[in-house]
Amino acid sequence: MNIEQIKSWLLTGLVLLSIYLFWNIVTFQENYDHSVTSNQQYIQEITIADKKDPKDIFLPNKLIYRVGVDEYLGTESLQNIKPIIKEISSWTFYDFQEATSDFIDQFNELENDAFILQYPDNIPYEMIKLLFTIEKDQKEAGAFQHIVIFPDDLQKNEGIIYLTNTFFNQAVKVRVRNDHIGSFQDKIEDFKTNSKQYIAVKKNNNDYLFLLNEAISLGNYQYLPIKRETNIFKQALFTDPNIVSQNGNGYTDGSNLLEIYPDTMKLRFVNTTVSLESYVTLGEILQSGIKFINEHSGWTDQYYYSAANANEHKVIFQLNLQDYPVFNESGLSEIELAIGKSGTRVYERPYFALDVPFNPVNEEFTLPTGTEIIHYLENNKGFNINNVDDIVIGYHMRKEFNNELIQLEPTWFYRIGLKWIRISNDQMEGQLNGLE
Amino acid sequence: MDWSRAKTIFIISFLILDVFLIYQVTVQKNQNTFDLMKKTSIMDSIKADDITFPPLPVDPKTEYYIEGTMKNFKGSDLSSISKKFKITNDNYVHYELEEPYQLNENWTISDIDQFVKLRAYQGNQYKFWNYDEETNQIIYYQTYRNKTLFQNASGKITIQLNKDHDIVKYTQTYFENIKEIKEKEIVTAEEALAILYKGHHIKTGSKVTGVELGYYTSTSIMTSQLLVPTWHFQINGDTNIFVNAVEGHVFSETQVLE
Repeated sequence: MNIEQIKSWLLTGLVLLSIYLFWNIVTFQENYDHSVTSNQQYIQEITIADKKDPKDIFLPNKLIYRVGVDEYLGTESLQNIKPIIKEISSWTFYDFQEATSDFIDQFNELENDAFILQYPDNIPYEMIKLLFTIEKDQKEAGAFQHIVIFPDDLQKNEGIIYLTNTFFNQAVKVRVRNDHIGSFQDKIEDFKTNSKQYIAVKKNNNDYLFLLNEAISLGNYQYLPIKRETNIFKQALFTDPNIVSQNGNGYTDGSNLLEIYPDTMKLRFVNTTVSLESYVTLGEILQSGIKFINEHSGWTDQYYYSAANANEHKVIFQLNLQDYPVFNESGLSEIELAIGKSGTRVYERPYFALDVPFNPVNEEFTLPTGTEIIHYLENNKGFNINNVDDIVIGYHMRKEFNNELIQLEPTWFYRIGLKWIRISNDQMEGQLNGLE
Repeated sequence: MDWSRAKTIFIISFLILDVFLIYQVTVQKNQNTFDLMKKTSIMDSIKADDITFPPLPVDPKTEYYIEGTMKNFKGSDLSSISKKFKITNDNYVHYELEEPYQLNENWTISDIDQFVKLRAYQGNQYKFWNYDEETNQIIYYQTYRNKTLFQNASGKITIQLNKDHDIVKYTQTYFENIKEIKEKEIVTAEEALAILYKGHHIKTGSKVTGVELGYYTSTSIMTSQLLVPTWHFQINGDTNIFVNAVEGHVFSETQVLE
């Protein structure tokens, strides 16, 4: 009897122990699984640098103030553009109305001063709520490239501004309100005193090219490029980096391909499952592109929206340095994406950072005036100024083979479509001297 | 009676089950520590390959890129420290001693330190690098905040001994206007050692005889230089290897910048 009782206790003990151990194993595995998934989440959230708000990506590249008939003042230095746009984004936009004829009447009234904020390229109306404070959802279709403000339209705490397309022949009237709108007049006065003389060249499609018409002196810059670890891009861009196989400088998981170009310090990521067959709107391209870069915090430096083309499915974000855009023939100063219906197909970008300046020999460059530039371009055989989308001052980024340093030299550039072309200082001088 | 037998069978089977489960739990626990083991494995393989090293510094975690230029010497800079000198190319000072400076046959570094401190421009900023028996020369490199500018011909003192171990002449360059440019995260000495090991820069059985953080010339324009924080490893007392502490790559071992 006694033995039976001990056996009972023993059995109960063993059963409890087995339950406990079994529970341990099961929960342990759960923990293990959990740690794997949280690991994957961690991988998906790999951060390269920063996330960015569209407000900080879409900025005008020129502010132009038209005084009366044919005098233009302006700036294209971000340092002067940012405070103005910051002020405007504090206003509340409400009541959007198609008002092309109103606008054209006012705009053509040449005694009317006009403050023109020009964006580098089209911005679809659907994105305006991401850039400004919008009270009600507006439903305008299409895109705008300019904000035009007639100073007389601004009252103490309300006003009217116009959004226009590239050619100033389609406009939306927007009512705005804010307690400080009245003080914007002071901002405009400040702007006028700090800005420089510009010229406006009207193209035959009604678009204007605004060019700085004073000789400006800018310094050169030199940086030691610091390579970012490409491994972090691999971890950020592949859903499961563990199944990625390497072949030379290429990585693939079967459907995605990452190629590293160590000579130029660029990388190219292609998601072969995304097709570029079906049409995607400009709005989808821009938003999908920004979302993609934000997902891995890929805004490494000062990149801004520069150009996009819905037919080519492309958007380009340009590097800015020392307040001016930077251009390079091999794309070393831009992030370029090709976007399809289901996301990003191609992602091309540099993977170095320019944060170690080293420029013992500072050189100053005096750039030709806008008039000289137009004169030079028009004298080039086969050159049609009507094909040009924009002409700006920027830095030409150069990397020589035998030199570790990256050099930046100020010069003029013009854009045709998605391509920026340099007007070399030397060429210009050659021609100008030849003319003398 | 049957119940008692059944109990015995149950007890035996549960005993077997529990033993199995305990075994499972132990295996799982071991697998779980596997990850931790992997992390330390490079240091373990270094030790397993019979590579010995002194205690490695844990700090600093960040360090600056610096830039500077070679000094253009004027005679007035040097008149208080030497009577006989010649300046070539503005940058190089050649000192000569009228009376040889006598050293013991068993001279020590502090003897030379004493000499350099008094007889060279800003001599207290220089640090002993090596003594080359073949050429009978002692090399000093300049320091910035106590960190040596490795292999830097722009901040260097070369002391020539005669066969009686006396100092007869020496040359000097000086690196000035040093500015800190950009603070960057750097690899630790341990990570740098792992980089050397993985790149097969240290042979089995080697002895790391010195580890030190300093600066190595990254690039130069005329007499200006950009220097990068760099780990210096001395192997077996004679080989010097330099690891770029920002980007984590090895500078070629033979490269001496002139």
